[in-house]
Amino acid sequence: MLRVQNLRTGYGNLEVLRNVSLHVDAGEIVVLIGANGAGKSTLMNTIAGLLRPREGKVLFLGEPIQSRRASEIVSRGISLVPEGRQLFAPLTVLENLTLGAYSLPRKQRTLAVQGKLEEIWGLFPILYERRRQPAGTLSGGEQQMLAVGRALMSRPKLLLLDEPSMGLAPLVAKEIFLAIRRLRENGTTILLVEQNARAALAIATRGYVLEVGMIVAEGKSEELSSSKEIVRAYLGKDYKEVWE
Amino acid sequence: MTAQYVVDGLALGAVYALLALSYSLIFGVIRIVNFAQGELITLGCMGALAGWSLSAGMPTPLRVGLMVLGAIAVSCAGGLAMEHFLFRPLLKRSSPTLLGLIASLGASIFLQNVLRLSISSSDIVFPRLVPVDPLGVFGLQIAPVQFVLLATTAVLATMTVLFVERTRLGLTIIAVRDNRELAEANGIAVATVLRGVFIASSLLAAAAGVMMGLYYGVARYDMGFLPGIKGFTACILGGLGNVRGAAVAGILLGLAESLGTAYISSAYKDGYAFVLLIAVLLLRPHGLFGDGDAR
Ligand SMILES: Nc1ncnc2c1ncn2[C@@H]1O[C@H](COP(=O)(O)OP(=O)(O)OP(=O)(O)O)[C@@H](O)[C@H]1O
Ligand SMILES: [Mg+2]
Repeated sequence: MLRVQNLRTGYGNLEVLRNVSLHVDAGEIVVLIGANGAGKSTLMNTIAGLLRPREGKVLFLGEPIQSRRASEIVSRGISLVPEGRQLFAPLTVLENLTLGAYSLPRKQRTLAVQGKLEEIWGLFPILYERRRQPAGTLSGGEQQMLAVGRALMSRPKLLLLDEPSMGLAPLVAKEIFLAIRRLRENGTTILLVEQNARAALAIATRGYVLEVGMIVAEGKSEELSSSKEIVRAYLGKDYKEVWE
Repeated sequence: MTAQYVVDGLALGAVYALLALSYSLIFGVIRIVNFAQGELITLGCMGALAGWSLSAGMPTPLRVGLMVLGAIAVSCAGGLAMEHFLFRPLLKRSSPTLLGLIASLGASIFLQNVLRLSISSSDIVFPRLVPVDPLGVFGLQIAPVQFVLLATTAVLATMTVLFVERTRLGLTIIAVRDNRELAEANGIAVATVLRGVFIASSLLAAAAGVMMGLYYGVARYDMGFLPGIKGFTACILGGLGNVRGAAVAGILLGLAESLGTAYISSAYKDGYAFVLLIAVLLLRPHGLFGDGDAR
């Protein structure tokens, strides 16, 4: 579904992605792990069309999209949930979600919005209760749910999630991971960036490890979870083990 | 006689309210103080004059139509040119706020001089289409032109607020204003929204320009500069980017100016606005109606 080939992206003189290739097949959850500053967000933003790559290709459903505008990429079926619970703070929950469907063709919109809203209320019932509240007044967890919901409104075939569990209490993070799994069961393909590698590998089919702008390891989730180096670098010990 | 000054202040405030709205729309989205905003008023007024004089000899309703058309066309052309040549390139730079301040001041001086050299360096007579002689109403002296000013402002201000808060395009304006990156990721064509905002803002400035022409009976190459600054003041007073607040603050500013002139001194006519601004900012840093991220 998505194929990234020899991608290079940077800011000014800074080269961040140095030859990244990966692919995501339909129906998969693929996780991308890597240390802070490895370039994970840069990669996600390049796929979504917010950054222009210097070299390389991004193929979506067989077509190159690396030089398309972000708005066109959304209409083609890729939706990004950017890092850090981004939403439109002064707008209500409902308005945020309605705007999420902005890229849908006018004729389909009204019906599609209704259908998608039902789906999102089912996924995150708390959002329904908060629907008339300005998004800026939601709790951190609710904001992240809304951020995911907003991205779903455009009916994406591929959902890009950049650290959805960042800064959330473990129970709330768990709720988000459950929702991601349910999305996949409903047929959405997902590329997921996570620091919380253990939880991410538990729901993913495959994974990649990004280190200073290069893919240094890839494989099925179980393979990655059992690789000694990866365990040492990214999975560490459970907090529980450390404390005991 | 206070009531009389209130009426005069309201009429003046109506012009400021239009300007504040015009400012508020643009500032809310680009977060750059546009010193050349006042020149959109001048352009609107000059466009109206052009429409009027080019249609000499035609029936009056047609001439008024061409006048409105002229104001809209010239002001929008100016606004779109500013967006394209000034702000779009600036927004790609790393510190657009400061650069924009200086660049737009430059644009303002440039436009004033182009108008001065190409049209006239002195007052140009603007047709008195609405009577300015006061009529006695309940013991007050109210000129029909003041009615027109207030009515036009009331209609346009209501339309602007409804446009921003109730339409889809309005929602996208709030979205771009609040979080440009996310708006882009969301599939909103930010460049198109910016253009839409400049058009709406130019329309309001054009209306203000025509109103000033009707009220004062003259047009001048620098007629927009000071009102432009006062419009910006009202925009800050109302809470930056808050359209409702901007409209109300514009009216308040007109009242302050009228009452200050009457009861304190006319020497400081242009200063009362700024005294009010400083007072409000000391007490309420986000403006009268602002709370940081209001609509
Ligand atoms: N807008 C920018 N301008 C300049 N440099 C940037 C910009 N955004 C990111 N960088 C740099 O690019 C590198 C990669 O950043 P990126 O945000 O992609 O990392 P990341 O893997 O997502 O990290 P994190 O886990 O902290 O989110 C970092 O060195 C960062 O400083
Ligand atoms: Mg990141």
